[in-house]
Amino acid sequence: MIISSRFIREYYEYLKKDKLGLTGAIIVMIFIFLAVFAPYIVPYPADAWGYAYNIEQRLQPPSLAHPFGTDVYGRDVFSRVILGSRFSLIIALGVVSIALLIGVVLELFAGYLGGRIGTFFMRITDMFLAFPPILLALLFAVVIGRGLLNLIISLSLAWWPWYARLTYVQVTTVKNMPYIDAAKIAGINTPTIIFKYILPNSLTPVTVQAFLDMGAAILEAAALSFIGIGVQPPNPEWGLMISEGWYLIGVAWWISIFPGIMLFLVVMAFNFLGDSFREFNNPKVRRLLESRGI
Amino acid sequence: METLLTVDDLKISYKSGNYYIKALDGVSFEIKEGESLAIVGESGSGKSTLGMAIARLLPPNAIIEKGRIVMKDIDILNSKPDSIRGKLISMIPQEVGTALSPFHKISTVFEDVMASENKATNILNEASKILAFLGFKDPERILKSYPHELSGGMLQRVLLALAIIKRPYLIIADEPTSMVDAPLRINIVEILNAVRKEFNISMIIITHDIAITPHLCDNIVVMYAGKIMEYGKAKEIIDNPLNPYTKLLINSIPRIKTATRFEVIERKNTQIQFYKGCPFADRCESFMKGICDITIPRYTSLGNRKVLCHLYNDKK
Amino acid sequence: MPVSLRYVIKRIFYLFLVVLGVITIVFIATRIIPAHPEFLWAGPHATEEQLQEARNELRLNDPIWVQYVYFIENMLTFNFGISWSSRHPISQDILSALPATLELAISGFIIGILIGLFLGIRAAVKYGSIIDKFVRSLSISGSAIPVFWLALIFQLILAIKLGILPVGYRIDPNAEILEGFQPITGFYTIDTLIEGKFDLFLDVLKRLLMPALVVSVYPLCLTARMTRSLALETLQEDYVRNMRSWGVKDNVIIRKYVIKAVIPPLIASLGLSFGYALVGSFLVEVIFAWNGLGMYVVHALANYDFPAVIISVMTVAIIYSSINTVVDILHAYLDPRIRL
Repeated sequence: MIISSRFIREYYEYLKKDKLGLTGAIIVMIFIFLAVFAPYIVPYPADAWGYAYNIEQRLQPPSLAHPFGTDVYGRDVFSRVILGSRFSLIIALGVVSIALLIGVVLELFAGYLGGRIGTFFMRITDMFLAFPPILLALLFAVVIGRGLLNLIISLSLAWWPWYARLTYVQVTTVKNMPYIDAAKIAGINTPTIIFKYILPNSLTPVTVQAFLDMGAAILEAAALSFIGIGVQPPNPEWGLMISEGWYLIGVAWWISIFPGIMLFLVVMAFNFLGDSFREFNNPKVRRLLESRGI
Repeated sequence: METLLTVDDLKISYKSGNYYIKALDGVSFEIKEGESLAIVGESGSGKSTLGMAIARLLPPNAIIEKGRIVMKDIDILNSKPDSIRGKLISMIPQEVGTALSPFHKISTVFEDVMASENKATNILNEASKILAFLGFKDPERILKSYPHELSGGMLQRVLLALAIIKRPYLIIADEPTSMVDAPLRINIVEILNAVRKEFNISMIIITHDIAITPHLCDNIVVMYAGKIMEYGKAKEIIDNPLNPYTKLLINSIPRIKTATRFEVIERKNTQIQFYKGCPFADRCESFMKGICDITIPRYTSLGNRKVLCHLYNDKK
Repeated sequence: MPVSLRYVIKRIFYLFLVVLGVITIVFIATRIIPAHPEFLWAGPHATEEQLQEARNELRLNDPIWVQYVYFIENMLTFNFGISWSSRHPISQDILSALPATLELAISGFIIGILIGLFLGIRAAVKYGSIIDKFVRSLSISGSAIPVFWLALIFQLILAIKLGILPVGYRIDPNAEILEGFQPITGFYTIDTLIEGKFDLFLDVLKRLLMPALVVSVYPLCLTARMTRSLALETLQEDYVRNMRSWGVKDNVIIRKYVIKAVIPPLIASLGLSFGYALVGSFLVEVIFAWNGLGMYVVHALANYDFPAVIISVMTVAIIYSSINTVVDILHAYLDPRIRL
């Protein structure tokens, strides 16, 4: 199994000691909960989806009725921020899984064919890696258009080379492991070796990395929405909401600030989780931690 | 001869998480001036901890519970590390490949090691002299090199030069022969002996390879599970080991004629604090039920030998 | 110690291949994926005549490889066409916007790596202490900050509420009229000094400070995180312990040996840091009315002027690749082990 129950238990034990990682895990769980149940728990669902316009309520500062205030159209910012988690989760899951799929499949294909074709695939990957990912995503978004689905596609197209390279590194490492040689000597056929030995052992790091990259995907998607090429109004995506309020920053700071806080918290939570995970997986650091009694 | 170093009832533990692991359990011995001593034992026996404690290089999680180390009337454990390291006691590391910073020339390291010394001496001249003594034909070229440009054998001699350049009284060599090929071993042994004679430096050789000790050392300390099992003259111990553990060690020296038993029994308790009787009880050939597993043996002096074993406790 | 010329030539040749690769990706993305590229290039309200003109210019009637060769030729000769929203040649637009972006990105980059290096070393030396925990949390949470949002917060607090720093613009908008300021290089910090206008120079610095701090966040966090873990690893190295055993003082070891071991891998990450700074300034320029490439792109996007966006993105990618090449050569220069 890729991620065994023993592994999860060990990591859980580690997390209990690592406060930052634990905080991250809790926030991520709250985020997922909000994303799933947002439409049923927000006070103003119509505002949240963006279809309600209450012009007489516009630009209200935070109050009991509107904890995060209201925006230019009088919509409740709190409801919109909560619902925004659903958009971010969809984007994150979509980008990461599509990118993972493209990266791993291409890489396996390349690895399976090997030789010149394999090298050729790696060169293509290198070409993609020459771009800062967000700019490449911008390029694709310009070509294929705006909106949630296109945003996910563009970001995935910019993202897959990272997973391809990681898989490549993993496959090369695993391929040279003594147990693969042992399997070859024992006469196990090549497809069995690839699918039963190399694939599971190479997939674990890249899958975990992908899960932890969800924070980064949310952040980049928000940036693209902020410059106007991602999710389109009236949807409550956090980056878009920040851009809807930035020119009013001196008048109604709450429109931009609250979605930003939420965005920051969620991405940070993923980062904390990722960092704690990396330290957990780094034997050197782990030994050091143990020797200092942390 | 005057006593150079005295280690007295040293007890050291490592803190790991919420519990402590005992590394040294009441170790005492002496080294006379110009003498050299081998500390023999398998990994986990505490021999490296002992070496690091003497050189004041213990990691931060090590706790000295008890005991003293005295050298020339200086209390080593309670002095500032800077006044000891390099000047009184120096070290030759085990790993050769990672022993020197890959980003600095050999000369830079010499300069920094000598930085606290008298500025009047020309450091690089001094270094060249020592390197020449250690058999380098072109010491200037060595000084100008980076570590990766030198071979393992060359690096080992450079490390030796760095250890002795401040003329310490004692150098501690951690497994000096483990990282080199067999033909070079003899070479290293010769060089260490030459250094000892020329500079009148005492040496502590930490090793698991008891076979080389008679060529290098006067005395041997055999350690097991943080305790000294046997102490005495190197030749005597090799010829006539008394402690069953020492016997096991000597029998595992590969020899051509005698068919030896390579019986290595895994210790059941890897953590030292769990044993009740003799630490070696669960692997011992001469295990005596009802004695070895219950009471801790005492040291027995036989001539200038000291042995820790119930076999000899009873004889007395 | 000189890096071998062969290595430099190899790297530059490799850079050329990467640039070709970048151009190829742009070609694939903008000319092969869309069914009718002329719509993309001629703008949303193009007449049939303009579309025809675009078709001719892009040589859409020729085979694809002919188009490809012409495309590469145009890109390599900076013949990018005319932006129909600004009515200037795109190359000219980019050339005038680029110094602003570079000035901001470089300032943020330098601030970031200096502070990051300092914090990272402190944290590693005091492993497990409060400083270390602070640096670790800062470096992880810092890379989670949406820069454009941080820019807003800085603007709200420092400029609007406290009034310490100007809200935006690269230079006093009246400078041109009142003081006769004329950009020369496009880097205003340099230009004001060349023209000897020190009060303007201070004004420029003041205006640069806030955006540069915002842009510095990502490079700072990356550098601090990398420095910390590299220094921690170095402190575990055998040679550090050995040097201690020979009596070298701890501060000498940190100042001379640990830093030197940390720098080469850190140099290797400079490319990434600079990439972060570039992207960061791309995103915050519009908030600070900083008329660089980022603002140009945002305006072009709003006007559906896609060629301008595409070419700008390509330019940044090429700059980024070139920086990476320089960084690689620098890395080889500093690390004696990779001298090939």
